[in-house]
Amino acid sequence: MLPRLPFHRPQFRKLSTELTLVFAALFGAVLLIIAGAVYLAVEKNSRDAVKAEMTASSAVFDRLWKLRADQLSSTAGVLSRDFGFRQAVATADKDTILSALENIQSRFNLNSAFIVDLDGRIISLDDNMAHLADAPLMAALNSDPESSGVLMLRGAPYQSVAAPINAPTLIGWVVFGQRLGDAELGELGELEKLSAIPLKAHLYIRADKGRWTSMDQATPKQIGVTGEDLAGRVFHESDRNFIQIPENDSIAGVKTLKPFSPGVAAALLLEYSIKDIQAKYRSMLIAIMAIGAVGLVALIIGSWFVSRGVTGPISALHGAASQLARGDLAEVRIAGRNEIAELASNFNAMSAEIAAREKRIIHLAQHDNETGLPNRIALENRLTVMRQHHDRSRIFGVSVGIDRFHQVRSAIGHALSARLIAEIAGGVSHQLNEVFVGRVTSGTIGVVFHADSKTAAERVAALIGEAASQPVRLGPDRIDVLATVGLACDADDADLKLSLLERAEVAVGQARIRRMRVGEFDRAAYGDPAAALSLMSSMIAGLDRGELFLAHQPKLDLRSGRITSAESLLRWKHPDRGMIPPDAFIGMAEETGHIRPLTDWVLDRAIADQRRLREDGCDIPLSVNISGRLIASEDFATRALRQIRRANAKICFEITETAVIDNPQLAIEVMKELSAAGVGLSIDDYGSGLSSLSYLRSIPAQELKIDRMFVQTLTRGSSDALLVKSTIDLAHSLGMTITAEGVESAESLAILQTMGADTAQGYHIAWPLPMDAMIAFWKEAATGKARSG
Amino acid sequence: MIRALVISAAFAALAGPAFAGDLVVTVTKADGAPLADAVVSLPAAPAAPAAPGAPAAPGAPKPAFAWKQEIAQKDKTFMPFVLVTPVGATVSFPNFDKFRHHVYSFSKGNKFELDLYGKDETRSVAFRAVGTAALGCNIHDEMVAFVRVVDTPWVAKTDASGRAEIKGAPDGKVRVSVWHPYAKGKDQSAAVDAVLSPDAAATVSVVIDVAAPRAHRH
Repeated sequence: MLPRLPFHRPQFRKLSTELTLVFAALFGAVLLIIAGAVYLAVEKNSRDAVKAEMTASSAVFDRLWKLRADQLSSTAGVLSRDFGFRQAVATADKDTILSALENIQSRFNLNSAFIVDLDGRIISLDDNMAHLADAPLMAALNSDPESSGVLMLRGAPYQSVAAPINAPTLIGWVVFGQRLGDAELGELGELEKLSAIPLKAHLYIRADKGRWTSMDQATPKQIGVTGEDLAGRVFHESDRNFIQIPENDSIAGVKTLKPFSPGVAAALLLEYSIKDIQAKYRSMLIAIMAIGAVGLVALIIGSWFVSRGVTGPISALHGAASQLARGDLAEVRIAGRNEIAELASNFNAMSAEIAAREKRIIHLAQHDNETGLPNRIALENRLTVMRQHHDRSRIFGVSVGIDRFHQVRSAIGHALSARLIAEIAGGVSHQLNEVFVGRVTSGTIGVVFHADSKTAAERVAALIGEAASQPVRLGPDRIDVLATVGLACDADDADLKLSLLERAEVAVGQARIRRMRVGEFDRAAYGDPAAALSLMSSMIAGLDRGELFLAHQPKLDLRSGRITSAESLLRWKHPDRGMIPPDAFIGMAEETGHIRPLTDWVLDRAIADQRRLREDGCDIPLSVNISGRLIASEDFATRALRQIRRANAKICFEITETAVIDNPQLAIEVMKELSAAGVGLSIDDYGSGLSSLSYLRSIPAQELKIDRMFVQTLTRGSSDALLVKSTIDLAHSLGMTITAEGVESAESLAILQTMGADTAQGYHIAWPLPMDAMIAFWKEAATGKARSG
Repeated sequence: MIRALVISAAFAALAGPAFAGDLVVTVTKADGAPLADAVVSLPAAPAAPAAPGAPAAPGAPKPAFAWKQEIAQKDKTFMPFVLVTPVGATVSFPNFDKFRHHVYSFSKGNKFELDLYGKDETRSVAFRAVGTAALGCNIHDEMVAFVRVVDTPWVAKTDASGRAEIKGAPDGKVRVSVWHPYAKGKDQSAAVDAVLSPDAAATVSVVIDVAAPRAHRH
């Protein structure tokens, strides 16, 4: 693992940006280096140019200086050699001397001209001149009669020359001077003009090793540097001294001037402006900068295009990969033959392979493995497509159930039965166009199609049934097939949790129950199985919450005309669903085993209710319906007996004959035990189920209840009347009393009375009554009886 | 300016014949080299001599010298460089060059100017003032010569070895004057005392500091 570098590389979202920026940064760096190098070179060049120019100017200056000195010298020589002049000097002819000086001064435009004799006396036109030469002048003349150089006269610098007057021996000197500095430096100004670069000349004088003093007047030429400053500004380079003058952005070369007399030193500063010289280069710098800027822009644009050329295919690959990730088929256009093109080509191959594989997977997912038929998912997909083109009321699903498929499969095996299904499906497809056939379950074929009306759909369903019911030849065998067809419409019953095909499948079951070959989905028959799933838990909770209660339906003693007993019926008043009929949950309670606690509760309730009735003066036995499954349960019987005895209750158990079918011996034993303990037994719903005289004889019941089915339609002379009459006789002959249920009319009551029935129960007598109503009924009956009696 | 003046007198110390009233003067430069063309002289008489440059009193005896009173010009050079001449004497200036010369002197009392004269021409000038006349040629600056005008008979010029000899001067203590055109000091001259005796020649050595001007031919 590589050690992490301590810096973070900047993250770019786009490679092209990164490449462009990197190129631009590199170019910018190079440009900066070039600009810096150029700047340094310019800086150095301009300084070098100044120095070179200084050297050149210095040489020019030397020539100018010498030229002037020579001019002065030759003029002085001419004068000093003039015979008449010499004679005048030798004979001290002052007037002549002065006139000669005046003459020559005006002819050669001299600033100063005078004579010094051997004794130092000065003869001059200038009245301000001293009359005696000072020591430095005399020393200079004595040491060199042709002395030349800078001479201070009356405090001002002069370029001066001396010429000896020999007559023939030395008798004196002629001294000529040209003023230096300012206006008189104007002649040195020629130097300024001669110079290739801007130049300013400044004169400095030092007398007697004292301070250097600037000879500049207060003119624009002034350096503004005092003599003392100069020493601090000197720098030495290439065997030459220079003076730094940063305030003027210039440097100056030092030119030592020959002094006339030894005690005096003079120096000329030639000041060159570096700024001015650099100005020449500035345009070049600007040009370089401009070229650099243009180059940078060109580079950015160029590298952006180049990097786009590089990253474009990468971006395309990226986009295609994203597309592929979304599940779409993606293909990248391949341009060129580089690595990226190769990558793109590989990508395309991969994409195509993925697409093919996906197709295969989808096919597998949508087709039945055994038969190759479209499976349920495929049918659902087809439905989805169909729903986009057709109204749902015109879309229909058909489920073709192969009757006795399990037997067929056990006979011919899975493989062949799959082939059988495939053949049947093929037959259906073959017979009917415009239908989509698939295998939904192992023995069920699903068909979806659209039809203009339900009638047309029923026709199609019938045709499908016919097509599916053709005998199929599998190899040597011929198999007879019978199919039941269920039909459902996509628009109907869509609120159910069943899909169209599932409804069709339910319809198959419903058709089979009705023994029809083709049946439509019947919502009513289907009911609400979902609600049943939670019914039991609701019921248990309802017991606790008091939603369930007992309603007591009085039984009328036909002989005494009094209410002698009542049947306690279970009622459930659901807070949301209202009254739930016992048929809706008793059966399920039996199925699920909840019947035991329910019955326990009912029994306890009946015992409690009876006690309360008794307290209200209504001391009649209450009948409770006991499920056949419980009657064979000794545990139940033991508990029931215990409860009844404890309360000293009068309870009668109503049971149906079927209760004894499963375990007759045990059931009859328990019944006998109950009967012995004083619990009444009653055979309920007699005549509606399977009646066995054998069981009837062995059940120790005291009462037989004729099913309402026979009573409700009871009229004189009907076959029911015969049945009822013979049943009454049968019960009487077996020592049981007869109770007729479902007495709903006075006529029925009268007939039953005539026939000799013992008690009657029904709406005509009383509805099943809740406790309060029961008590009220009882009291009313008692008063009524008192009134009538 | 006389930087150093050394006087030494030696009596009867020299080998060779001795003469009464004779004086031998040896003049050297400061570096010890013999100095030629120095004029050594003794005062003319006990009586006060005439002031230098003043015209000699008329009737005064003119000293006569053994050397020619002539300054020739040859090869742009005055010959001799220094001529000692008695006051009032006439000096001739013959020109031996094939070109012309223009001899002049601005010296006080002895001013003259010989206008251009050609080959084999001779001009003459009478020097009437005691002192020195510096001679030049107006055409040739480098030509310089000096005429030492004296009023004494006892005078001599040093030869190339720097030696000058004065004979027959009166005995006794004398003031010896030495002059040279380029001698430093007042009047380009120096003086030493000497005692002349009849028995032997007095010998004097003088050191003269000279400053030779440039570009003079002699």
